[in-house]
Amino acid sequence: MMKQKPFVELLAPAGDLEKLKIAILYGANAVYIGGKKFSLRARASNFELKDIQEGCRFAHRHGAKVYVTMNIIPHEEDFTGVKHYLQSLEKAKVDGIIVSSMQVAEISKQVTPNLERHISTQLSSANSSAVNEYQRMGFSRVVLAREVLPEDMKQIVCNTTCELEVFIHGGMCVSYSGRCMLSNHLTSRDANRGGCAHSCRWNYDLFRKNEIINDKPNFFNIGSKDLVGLQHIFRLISLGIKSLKIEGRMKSLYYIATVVRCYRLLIDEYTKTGGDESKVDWNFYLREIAKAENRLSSTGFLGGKPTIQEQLYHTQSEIPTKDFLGIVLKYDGRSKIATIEQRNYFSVGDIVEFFGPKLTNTQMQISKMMDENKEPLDVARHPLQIIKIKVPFKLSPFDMMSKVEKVE
Amino acid sequence: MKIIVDLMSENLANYHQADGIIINSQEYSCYNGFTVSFPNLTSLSAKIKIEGKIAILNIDRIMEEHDLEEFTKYLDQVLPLFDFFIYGDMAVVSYFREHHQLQKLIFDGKTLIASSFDIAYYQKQEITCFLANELSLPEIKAIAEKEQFALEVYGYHQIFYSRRELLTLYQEFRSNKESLENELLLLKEELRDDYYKIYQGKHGTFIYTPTIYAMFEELLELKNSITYIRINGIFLEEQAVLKALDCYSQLLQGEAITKEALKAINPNISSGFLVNKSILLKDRPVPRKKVGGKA
Repeated sequence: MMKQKPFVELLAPAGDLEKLKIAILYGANAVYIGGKKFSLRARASNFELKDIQEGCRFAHRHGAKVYVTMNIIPHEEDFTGVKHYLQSLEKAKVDGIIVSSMQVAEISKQVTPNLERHISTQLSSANSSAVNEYQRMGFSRVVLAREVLPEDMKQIVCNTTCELEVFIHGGMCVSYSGRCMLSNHLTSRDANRGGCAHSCRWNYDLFRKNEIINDKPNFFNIGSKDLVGLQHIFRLISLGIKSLKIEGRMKSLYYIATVVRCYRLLIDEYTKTGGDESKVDWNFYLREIAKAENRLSSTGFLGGKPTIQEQLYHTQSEIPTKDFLGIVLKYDGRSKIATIEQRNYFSVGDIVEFFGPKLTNTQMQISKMMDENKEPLDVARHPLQIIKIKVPFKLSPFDMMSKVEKVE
Repeated sequence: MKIIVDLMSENLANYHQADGIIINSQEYSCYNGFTVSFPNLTSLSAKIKIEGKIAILNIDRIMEEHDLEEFTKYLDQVLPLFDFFIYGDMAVVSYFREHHQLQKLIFDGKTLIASSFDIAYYQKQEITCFLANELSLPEIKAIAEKEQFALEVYGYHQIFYSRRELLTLYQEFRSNKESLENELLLLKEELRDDYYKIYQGKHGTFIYTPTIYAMFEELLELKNSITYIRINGIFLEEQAVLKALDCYSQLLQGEAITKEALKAINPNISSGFLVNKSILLKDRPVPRKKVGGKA
């Protein structure tokens, strides 16, 4: 199924094939994935070639694109097999690659000229001269540095014809990406080859010679809160930013579904309202996005020069979200029984909410549930357990079930 | 192999053992030490050339869109004054390509050049590259077999470059009015022993290695592959830099001198990643516990 080319691309991360499908079903126009080689998220699941092929088939059937990240800063040995790998990606019908190495891009130009080449944010492109130079070198898109200020972004758009991609949501490097070696020096883990230990989020003491500056027992912190760009989306679309990127190839299925759906709905609202922000129910979006957050967030540089609101002080631990209860595998319209794969503890009497690509948030109370042998259950306590629940409204595969604290 | 060194005062006569002198631009470099503003560049670059030295201007900052107009005017003025320009932003390449002067560029991406393949790409355009600092000696040797490059061989290395004013923001968070800008402070991770240098200047916040990286005798094996070796003067006294310059000069002239001579100047030196290959611990948790010794 070929869809009309979107006026702005919602680009989502996908750590594995299941997440790729979820991202696309929930409204992403494109996904970016890592292969087993050359990818900066070494601890993400990452795709085998056969999964890349299947992912591309699925994406293209739904009118979406697949980009493969090849954004490590390669060392000598990393170049082994690069030509073959690029050719395999092209054969798998990948749409483009995201690179940091000029030589990897040059090889791609020669052996896989039909692949789009995007310059990674690792290169910290923050001005139109740099963007235009990359375009001249054959890159069709530049992922801007996260540090670009709103007024600068406006000027960059005016001064280039190159496609621009901007991060709108997710984790933030506090340094210019690609210019941080803290992880390397503190742990010997190479951030530029996928091993980042997130040392910027650790606790430090700050000294002037022998005098400690931070107020013990508190530490000095340099980490950044995560980015939530919801309220800047209309402006970015109006500016002519081509691609809005969500960060997080290591995030959960529920996170992907919630965040992608939220931005999808908002982008669609831009079309419906003609970009009139006053017609948007921002409370709805802020509430929805909060369901996926497990870290403190802010607007990063999208809201201007960072203030203390953008910084993480007295480091908070991540709070694992327990909102995600299960994913719908199938729904029998006649019996109104939904088959659900359990992801978190829930029980009879809980008030839950379903949402999906075509389902608006709908709540109900669980009155009865069974296991896969139709034996009655009071509690669903085992991860990945198959549960059957009576649901009075129609559900579809890949719809999500989440917890509701209070009935809305 | 030519020795290039940061200028740390206007007394050029002190630098007679250097082949080239780096002036760190006050407006457009990340350097947080002795920098030179635009009005003084003309006379200084002329003096360097009179001394028969290579004149190099460091403009390694990441440029922002609102910098471009002024930066272009700046480049128009400085282009004829210097033999080489150390840069870190692609906007510089754009300008020099338009002016057919790419051969004057030395790319210092700090961490971004880690293979002979990427060096070859830049060399095709006549651009010299600084090699990343986080490479082991065997890696450097393997690269040296194929390509020529520049290397920072002595000094505190910049390992973090943030656009954010991290020290100012921290003081604001603590409701403390004392400024921590333009002051060298130290940073110590809670479980580790090393004291990293942290500095917030007008172009952002920077973190540097806790020790002076020193590559010395190893250079002799790489003599034919290294075009420039840089002695970085950041946070060092000029006298210490000049003494280090003397050591490197003696080494390259074939005199019997060892790293001990560098230790005599400042004992706080290390071999960095030369003997400690950076690794990628796939699927393994981050080691957080102090296991004794330095991290």
